[in-house]
Amino acid sequence: MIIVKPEIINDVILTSSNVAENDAPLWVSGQNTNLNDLRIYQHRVYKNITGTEDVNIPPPDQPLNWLDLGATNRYRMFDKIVGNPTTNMNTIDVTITPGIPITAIVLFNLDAASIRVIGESASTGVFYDKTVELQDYSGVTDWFQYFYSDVGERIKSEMAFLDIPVVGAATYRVVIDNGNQLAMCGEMVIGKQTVLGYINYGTSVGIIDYSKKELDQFGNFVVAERRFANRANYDVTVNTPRINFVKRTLAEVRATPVVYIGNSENPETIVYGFYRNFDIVISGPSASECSLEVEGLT
Amino acid sequence: MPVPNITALPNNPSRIGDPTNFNTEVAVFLPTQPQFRTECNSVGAYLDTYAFDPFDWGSLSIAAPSKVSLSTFATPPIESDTGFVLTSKSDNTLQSMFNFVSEANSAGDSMDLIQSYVPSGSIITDELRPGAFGTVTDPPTFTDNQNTFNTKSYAFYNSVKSFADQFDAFYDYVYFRAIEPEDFGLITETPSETIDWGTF
Repeated sequence: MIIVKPEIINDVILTSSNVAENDAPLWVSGQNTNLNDLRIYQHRVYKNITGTEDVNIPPPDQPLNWLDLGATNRYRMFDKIVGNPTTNMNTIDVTITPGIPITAIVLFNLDAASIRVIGESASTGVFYDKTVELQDYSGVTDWFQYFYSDVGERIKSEMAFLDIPVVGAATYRVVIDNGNQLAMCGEMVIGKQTVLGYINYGTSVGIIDYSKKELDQFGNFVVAERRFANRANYDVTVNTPRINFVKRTLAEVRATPVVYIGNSENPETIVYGFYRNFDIVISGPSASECSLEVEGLT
Repeated sequence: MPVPNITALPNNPSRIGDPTNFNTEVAVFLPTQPQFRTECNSVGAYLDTYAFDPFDWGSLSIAAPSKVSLSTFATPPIESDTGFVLTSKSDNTLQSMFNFVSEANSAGDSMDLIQSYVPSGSIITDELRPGAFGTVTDPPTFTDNQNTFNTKSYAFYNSVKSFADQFDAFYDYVYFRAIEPEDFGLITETPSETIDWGTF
């Protein structure tokens, strides 16, 4: 059981991206705009909703005149909204320069055939180069399933790279490749890993669905599909001498969205969100039981 | 009569390599397998009667043709394989089938040429000649239910590999016997003879 506290990724850290930032023209001080005009300011898209504005005050400081529509396409994969992805035809190719060593890169809500991560520094050259295929073939159990089961529906949507060596002053290039189709990434998180304990069988995973399903007076369902969030109840074994460390670590991130990884080989146990509560039962001198309930970001 | 040709197969579907076109290519590829089976069995039956003289040195003035390279046929999946392993092996098996056709046809042309150099009216006994070809079994079809489809598939793709391996071994035999230079380096006995010139 590992948690990854995310490092901020802004336009200083993101040193390269092949995703265009052309969602709208840039907001320029002193320039007039009209009702419903869109402008980009600090990598977010704003919509003029009144037709009136002070042309010298940036949109975030005029919330009555400008509606924040969210991050630009290029920055959506860093906006802490998993359900709001960056998309780009064929590949999403980004390079980050964190300025500090990191040991984990985790990606969420992916639509891709493969992910490649390359770590490089001036002193070591390329020190990490790993490619992972995302297709989930667990449904292919015989020749019949090989030929006839659906292709592309069961794609691993979360991927964690946890074996990145500790190297200072490094750049990390992440290539999200979807062949000749639209590549998509909901969120990319970088940071250092902290091991809490060992996940056990008995851990449960699922989703929280925010869709509305109501019955009208005739008994017909009226459905409004909305976003959903991943959730997990982790059953973790913690070394008893480390209980204080685990408790303190979780307390520190109680109001911070963090990546929780039960088992990196099981993408369903990778959740980016907040924990609702945790309990540690001191079962014995060497091992104790911890239950951790996590709700993911939508 | 030349070695029968095998009709070229359409592009082999690949779940890992080309998932976008997989379904379309399956629909085209599967129906060609019955004809592939028939033609492979024709080739096997013909080669069982293929006659040449392995002990004939042929014409020393003719340059030997180059040997056609035959790729190693991938090992098909076994029934306990699942997931990525099964998918990868299946992709590789279909790729091998596709590659085999053109290579086998080229090797067949090569054997026709060799036969013209060292012809024989009948099969000459040679302890190195490989045994008779096995048959390629019935391939799966769209109308088969899941159990029948799987039973046929495991048998069919294994029989195709066996056939390809036998073909490879037979071509090696023909080429080795007829074309490759003899190696006299193994002779260890030193002949000695005393000549009696009589009395001068």
